[in-house]
Amino acid sequence: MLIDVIQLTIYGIVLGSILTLGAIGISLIFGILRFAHFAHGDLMALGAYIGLGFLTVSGWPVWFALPAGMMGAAAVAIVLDQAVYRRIRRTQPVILLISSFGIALILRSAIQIFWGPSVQNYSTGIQLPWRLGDIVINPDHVWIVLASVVLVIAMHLFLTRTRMGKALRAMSDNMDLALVSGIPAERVIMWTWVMGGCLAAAAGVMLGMDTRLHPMMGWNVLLPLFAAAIVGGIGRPYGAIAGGMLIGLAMELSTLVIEPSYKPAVAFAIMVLALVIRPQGIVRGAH
Amino acid sequence: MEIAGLVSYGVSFLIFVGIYGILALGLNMQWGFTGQFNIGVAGFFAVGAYSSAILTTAVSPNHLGGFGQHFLVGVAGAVIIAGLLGLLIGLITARLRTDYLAIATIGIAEILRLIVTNEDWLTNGVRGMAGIDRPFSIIGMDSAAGFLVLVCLAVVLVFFLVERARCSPWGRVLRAIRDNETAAAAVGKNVARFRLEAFVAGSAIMGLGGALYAHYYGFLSPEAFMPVYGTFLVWVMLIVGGSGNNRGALLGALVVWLIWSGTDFVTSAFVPDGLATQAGALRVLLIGVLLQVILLTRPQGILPEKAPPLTPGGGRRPR
Amino acid sequence: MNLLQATDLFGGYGGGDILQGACLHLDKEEIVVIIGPNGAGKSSMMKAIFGLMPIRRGEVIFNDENINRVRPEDMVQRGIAYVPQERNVFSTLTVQENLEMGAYQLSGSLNERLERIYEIFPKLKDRRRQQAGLMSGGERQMVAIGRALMIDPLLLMLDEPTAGLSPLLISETFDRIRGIRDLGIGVLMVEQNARQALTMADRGYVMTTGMTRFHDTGAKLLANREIAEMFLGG
Repeated sequence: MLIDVIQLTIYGIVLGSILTLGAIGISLIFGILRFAHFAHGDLMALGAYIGLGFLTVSGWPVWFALPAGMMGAAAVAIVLDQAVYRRIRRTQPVILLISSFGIALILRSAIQIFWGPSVQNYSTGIQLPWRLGDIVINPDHVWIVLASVVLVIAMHLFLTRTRMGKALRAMSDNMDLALVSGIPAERVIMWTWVMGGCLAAAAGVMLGMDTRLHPMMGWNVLLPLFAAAIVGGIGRPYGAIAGGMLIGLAMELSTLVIEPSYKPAVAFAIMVLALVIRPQGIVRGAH
Repeated sequence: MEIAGLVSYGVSFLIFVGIYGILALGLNMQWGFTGQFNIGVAGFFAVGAYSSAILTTAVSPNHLGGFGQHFLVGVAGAVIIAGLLGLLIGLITARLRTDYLAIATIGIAEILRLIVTNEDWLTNGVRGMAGIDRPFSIIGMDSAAGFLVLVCLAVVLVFFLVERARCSPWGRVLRAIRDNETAAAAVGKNVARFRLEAFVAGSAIMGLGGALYAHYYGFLSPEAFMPVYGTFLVWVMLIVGGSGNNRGALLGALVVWLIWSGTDFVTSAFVPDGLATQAGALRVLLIGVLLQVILLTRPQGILPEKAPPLTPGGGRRPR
Repeated sequence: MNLLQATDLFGGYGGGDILQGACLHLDKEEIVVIIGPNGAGKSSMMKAIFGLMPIRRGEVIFNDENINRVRPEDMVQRGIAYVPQERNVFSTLTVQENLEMGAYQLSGSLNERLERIYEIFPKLKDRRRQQAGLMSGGERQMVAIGRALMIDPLLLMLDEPTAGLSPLLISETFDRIRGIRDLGIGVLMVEQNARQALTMADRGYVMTTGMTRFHDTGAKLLANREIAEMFLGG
């Protein structure tokens, strides 16, 4: 039993790392733009597929899918904001939710049209897993966790050491004061989408590496993403780290007692619990 | 094309318009009346369909059943169970802001889809539930045309009820809450309770739509209740037709189903069979783009909402 | 020729107008105070000038330019800084980061500007890495004003800068404001501590029901029996 727990904990850490990246993006977008971005899961998926497309065309090693996907998703995110979200948030911000739901479907359909409906994989070749006794660790698992750590640190540096990053935090903290201080709102918003898109794509590529690519992969992970963001306190990117790890571990460990298909339900249950008990999230801090 | 084929297609078309119209009316009660984002319509749709199926089908080794109840019992069951589900969700999310309600409804719909897909003992999973009967076969009404009559009656009934609700004092309070919640609370209205009532009513109506679908199609599978078909189409219908507006809901159902079926026609005629799923995805993409275009250019829909008369037959309240 | 001139302002949010023909003017190196009862439109007056409230009639001229239609985020470039009464710091940012945000739009040496602010508020330098939201009311006020001063404004607008402060801090704040004026900056202030404010102001306006009813130098307003009784508590 202990072996199972340790094994599942490892899977949980991997999943948690992936969810963290997606949830940070959701929290950044919510903090600045004040809406739940329902297309985020499919943006993740699109990043994964753009990465796949790049690999197919270039033939470069698998990890190059990461920068390719990130750039592609960031570009798509900017286009989405300029073409759709910006106009809606000026006139009727309340319908941003349903618009993003529609965008999710557009992205998903586009993936199906260009890459087809069947399952695909990044060709990582045969991987020899490392064994510690009965515990199995895939080298990819280690790379995923490491890459996530690097990206989170990069984000932290962006938010605390660069002028734009601080402006992002300022706007998320107090939008009115940010405008009064002369912070250029539209430019900050654009950077929010760049960050959100990049992190989403990274999460998507890594999810694709860990499991596989499938047009529904984004939608399937949307609930856990939002659970992670909400548990961490939606709008608080640092909280999303705790939320992501918690949800990831919970989802994997729950398979000790629950059928694996119901993992998203576990995430949902935790999210509802968090909403009912402590709506502001589990991580303490001023917001 | 044979006339019989065309007529049969037309009947099926209208039945779907009716079923989706009912779903849209249910959503209008939640979104149009009180501004509550239910992005889990598919869940209530599915619950209604499967409840009615389970209540009315014969014993089967593949799924829960054997109650062998009459169609009307099935419908009642669907309405009640869907309404109860709405009550459950509403109670959890009553005081949460819009975004959280939306996420919660997505969650419920997804979990229901997981249950329907995985719990074979209940629903036979992906293999689907078959053998759901058309009602009133005794009086010979179990043909498609007969069912169309049934659907029309249902649509008229639901429309009548929701229109009455809209013009009633209850409906006015709902609109006041939607337009200015703090003001409504300030005059002492229990905002959460009204919202909950509207949510439950809308859910129950969606359950009815589900039951009708089950008995028309005769066969249920989780595929039919995916977010695209069960939730997204209904939202597009409501927004295109005119949200806040019962007539708009029905008009939207007609228009969007027309576009949806029309694109099906075109793609099956011109697109090679191998690319069938891609063609389907293209159709979804088109509807998705249509939604964005409407949201950007004419968010109030084709039929904008009109305030109902203050007194029956009396003057309009200025908006 | 005035730095700021607001003439016959009418404006409000939808519904009815809060401002009913209010006027004021201000020169460089002047402290002008707006006093009056609650609901008189004092804060609204400042918000209208800064573009936070729509102006239906009348005009606001700043530095020879009509700024009726200028958006708040563009005011900073023109040299107008505004400190709201509430939520006037970025609570999750440090003191230094708050100040940096004040000068976001500007190029040029950030450090020079920061040093100048630290000269005016030495306590902030010690606390510069502290989170603004965790500071006391008086310290937060310093951060708020410091943030506004980062752009070297021509006009500084303060909405009730001494609200909720102890008497000692109130005196300190007014001292500092005098110091700011002596740097050549025009200061427009809304104040509830009317008596003390008028003592140190150059000129004052008394507003009631959206109009500027009385206008004179600080000293003369203080000496005016009628005003003293109505607005200054005898």
